[in-house]
Amino acid sequence: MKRLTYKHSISKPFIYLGLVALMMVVSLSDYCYASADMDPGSIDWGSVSLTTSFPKKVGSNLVLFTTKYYHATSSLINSHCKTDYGTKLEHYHFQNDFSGSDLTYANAFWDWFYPTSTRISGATDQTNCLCYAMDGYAGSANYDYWVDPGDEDHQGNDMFIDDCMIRDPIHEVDADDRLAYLCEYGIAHATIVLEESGNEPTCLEWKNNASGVYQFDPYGADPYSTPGCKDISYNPFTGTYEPDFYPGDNAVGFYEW
Amino acid sequence: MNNNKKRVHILVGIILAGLIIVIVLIWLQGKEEGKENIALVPNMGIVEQKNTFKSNKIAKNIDISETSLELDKNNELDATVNKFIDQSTAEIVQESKALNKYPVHEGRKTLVDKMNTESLEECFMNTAETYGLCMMIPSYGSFLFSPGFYSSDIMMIKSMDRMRKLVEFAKRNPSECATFLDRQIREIGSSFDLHYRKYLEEINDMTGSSTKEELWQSQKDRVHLTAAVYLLSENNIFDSLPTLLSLSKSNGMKRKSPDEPEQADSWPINPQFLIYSMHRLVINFPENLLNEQALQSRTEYLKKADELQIPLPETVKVASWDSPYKEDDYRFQVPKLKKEMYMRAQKEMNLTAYPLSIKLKSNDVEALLDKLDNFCTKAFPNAN
Repeated sequence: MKRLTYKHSISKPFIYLGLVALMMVVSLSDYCYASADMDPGSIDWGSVSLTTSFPKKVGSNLVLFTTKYYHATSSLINSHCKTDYGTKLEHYHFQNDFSGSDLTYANAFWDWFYPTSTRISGATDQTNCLCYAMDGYAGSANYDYWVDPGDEDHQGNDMFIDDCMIRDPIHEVDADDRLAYLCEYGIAHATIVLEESGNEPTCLEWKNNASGVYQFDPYGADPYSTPGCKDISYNPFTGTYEPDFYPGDNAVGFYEW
Repeated sequence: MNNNKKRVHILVGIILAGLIIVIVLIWLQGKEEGKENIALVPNMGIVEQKNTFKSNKIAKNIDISETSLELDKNNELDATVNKFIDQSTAEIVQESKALNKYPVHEGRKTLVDKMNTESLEECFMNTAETYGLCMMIPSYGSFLFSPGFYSSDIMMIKSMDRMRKLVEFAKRNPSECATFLDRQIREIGSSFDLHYRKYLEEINDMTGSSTKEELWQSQKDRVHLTAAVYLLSENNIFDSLPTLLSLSKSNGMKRKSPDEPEQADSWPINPQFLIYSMHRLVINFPENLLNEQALQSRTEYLKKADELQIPLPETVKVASWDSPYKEDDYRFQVPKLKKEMYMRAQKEMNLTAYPLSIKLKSNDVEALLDKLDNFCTKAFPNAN
């Protein structure tokens, strides 16, 4: 039987050329399809074709602010987005953040959608609620991204199984705790305990989508609870605001990890 | 003697049963009257109030927040019944006060007013209209709005008000809807590539902040296709399966991996979304409409789907498109308010929510599509 060798089948230069081409294809495909992560400053936005849109309000018209985004998913080469416990997080990078009139118009939308008086900082398309809750917690990390909340089992993102999130009943919180809980009509949501009294929160901070940051006093007279979550709010029967933060209420409430 | 005793017992039994029935009837009547007198009417303004109620009875549009209610208690009702009515009345008064405290959002009024005037075609085309999208995006929370991305598409289906109107319409007019949607899918499917190329040209020139204030046409195509495919599946329009399958073939889904849907940015519709919509149709397909060969191929498909552990859809109750408040209104996230008051005050409907994640590898998709293809060939031998 004749043994096949490079000499008999194909010449070495062609093999090398083929390997180089293959490497180029692999690297380019990752690049174009935005699956591997990159340092935010080194993204070639010309190669990215995904866009996302956020609401703005210009006068009485609602319009969209559109920016390219890059989804860091399967291959987190640069782990610049991870918790203090080392959990890498799926996340997005954005080409542009609100600035100038875009920021004014974005704030105009959210101030129209929510009560203006409780907003304490402006809109940003860089930081969603999860990132906002994480920001400043994990050492030197800076979450100027947009963390993907993952799927229903939270397999796509381990943020909620990381110890940096508090899942105990709310009556045991300290200031600066990060609270993670599920929303009945939405998704997992994160909130920061800004102030507490007797281990119960007296001021919570939250952010929704691209909105600014809002504050909420669970015992106060603010009629707006943190978005999409069922556990803090006004009780029409007593006329008071009663936090009701206990886990395991029909799978809605705090995670029980 | 014994017979007489029996007769007496039977007579007493009949009398007691009759009394119980009379009491129950009186009680039920009182309950209905109580409800009718004090229907909850949030100030929706532009929308016809009769559309916002579950009950067929037209609610009286009165502000009862400061009104004390006088119920007819002349009847000698059981104390328990009185207590029930008092409690119910008190709750409804409290609830009405709470509703009055939270007026209908100006943006929602505008949106519902727009939808009220739209025909089927207008409503469908306006699913990609900017105002409605802006009102919907806050519901996305931590997810991004990006048509063609699976998580974005399933959030859109669940949150979009126009989708709810279309679902209601399609349930009433399935054949008209099927014809319309079939035409839309074919037209959009054929023009998408051209629109997508234009999109790529334009976004390649994007530098700095974008001034684009509405979706690109290719993104609108995706919204429309996603809506059309969902509506066909939601209304069990089984004849649409060959069209949906051809949509998957025309875009080469077998050759690309949908396990990372964000990579599929050149597809007119998210492949996982399309596959799951077809999956629902196959599951619900009436067996009596299938010949033996088609039945067998359906069994083979279902077996494969079972192996791949494709999750079941979930039915969720949501507010109707013309209700004053949406179920995810941020002011109504209290269990008592939301479940007992807010939903009682409004018309609600069922929607099928797709699973947040379908974990399919590319070879799984190929296998599923092959089985689907086989099933469609057997079930629709004359489909072109």
